[in-house]
Amino acid sequence: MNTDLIFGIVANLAKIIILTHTVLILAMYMPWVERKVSAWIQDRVGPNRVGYAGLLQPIADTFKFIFKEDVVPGHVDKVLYVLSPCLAVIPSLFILAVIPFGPSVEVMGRTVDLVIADLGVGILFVFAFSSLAVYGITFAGWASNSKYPLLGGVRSSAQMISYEICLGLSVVGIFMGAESLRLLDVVNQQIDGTWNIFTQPIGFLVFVIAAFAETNRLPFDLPEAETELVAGYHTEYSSIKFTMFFAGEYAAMFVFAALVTVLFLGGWDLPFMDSGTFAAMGNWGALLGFGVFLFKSFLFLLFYVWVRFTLPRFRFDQLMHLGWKVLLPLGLANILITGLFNLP
Amino acid sequence: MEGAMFYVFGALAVLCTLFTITAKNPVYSALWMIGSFAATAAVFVLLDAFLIATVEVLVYAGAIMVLFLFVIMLINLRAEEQQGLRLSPLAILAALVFLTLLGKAVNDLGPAVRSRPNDLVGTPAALAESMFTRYVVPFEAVSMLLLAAILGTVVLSRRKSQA
Repeated sequence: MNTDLIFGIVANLAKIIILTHTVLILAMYMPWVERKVSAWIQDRVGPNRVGYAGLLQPIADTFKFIFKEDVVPGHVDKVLYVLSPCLAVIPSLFILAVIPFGPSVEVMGRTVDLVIADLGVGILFVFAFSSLAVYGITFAGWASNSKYPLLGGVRSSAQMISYEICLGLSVVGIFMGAESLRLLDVVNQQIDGTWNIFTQPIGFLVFVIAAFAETNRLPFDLPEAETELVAGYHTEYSSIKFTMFFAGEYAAMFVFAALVTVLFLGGWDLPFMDSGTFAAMGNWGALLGFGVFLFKSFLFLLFYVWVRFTLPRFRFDQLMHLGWKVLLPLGLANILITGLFNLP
Repeated sequence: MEGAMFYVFGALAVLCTLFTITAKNPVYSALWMIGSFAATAAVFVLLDAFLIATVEVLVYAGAIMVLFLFVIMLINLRAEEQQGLRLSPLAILAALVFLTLLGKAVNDLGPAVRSRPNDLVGTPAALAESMFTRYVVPFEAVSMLLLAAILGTVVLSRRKSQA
């Protein structure tokens, strides 16, 4: 075997391990962050018993979830009931493959881009797999074979379909500016120019709202809606299967936070740096870039939490009204405006 | 290697489609159909047609099947569950006629179409270029047709609910 091939395989494996573990550890610690921040917002203390400031709480929780009895109710459809939690996690991890997470590094005389798969159709790949994310919830609702999960599943499918369209329309303007669907091109264009949040404010607004809906976070958590549907689609789930839904939700949140960073917040760009400065710093520049990327994503995750404890949940008709009569025209108008500004 | 992969994903697509029509439960039919679309997308990837592959997953597996599932779950097709696959003579006849026509169509395409597409077909730019220059009239005609279908659906469902 030639060395290039072996090097490529090892480099890709390393990137996969680094990125997936970053996400899974973040997914594990996000509940802690969420509980702490909600405690500050509501003037409480939050978790503070296990470890310093409750920092070991996620580990204790994980062990609790794993060792709990795994109850499979008698009335469920066994195959889909077991399959659904897996379907809830897999799409988010797939999307990570096309997200660039730092400037390129030099290893053994070779340049390695910090993106697992640099696809020419980048953003379409993201939407393809984020559209598959709904199946975990829909099948879980159906397989549970009881009324509240079923309602949660039906709501989820309607909600995802509606907001996927807005999500897709909101980023068209960006790609008209970058003249490419590759996410790496979008980041590089922002590093040497202005961030898309300033050139595409309407697109940013629509994307963020649709991202909240796609990840089923408040104020769009109607599939779960504990005040009316008990716990929605995961009512019948317990133990590690419930944890999978939990992990899936937080992984999806990270994926969308990373997407916002890459598409609108300049990726790993800092205001006083350009691609030349990163290249001059060599591998330390890459490390700094990865840190900046994670920091921006984390800020957006905090925004998720902040919104959750600020806004009440929508009613279903309000949800549909917002999606089809407000966000969809806004997204279309954004494309038109971008087109007018970019006339040759 | 690529040839072997083609047979793996091709067989997967055929198997999933078979399970789609033989499954007793409509929800499982939908699940197998999603699998079938995914396998077809993999075949497109082997042909370097990344855009078509992604759109296959995005539109068919991701959007249209969600709508199917939504309807299946909403009207709760429990009665169908027991019956499974029913083969009426008419259905078999229709399938045979369709297969013959399809075979004839594939045969008439000639070797140029059956061979690998050139490298540019898979990229968004190349597809957009041909769609908005050479095929712009058919493209707009299809758009108008779809718009008419959507409007027709709205009008028909409205009339029924008012009556």
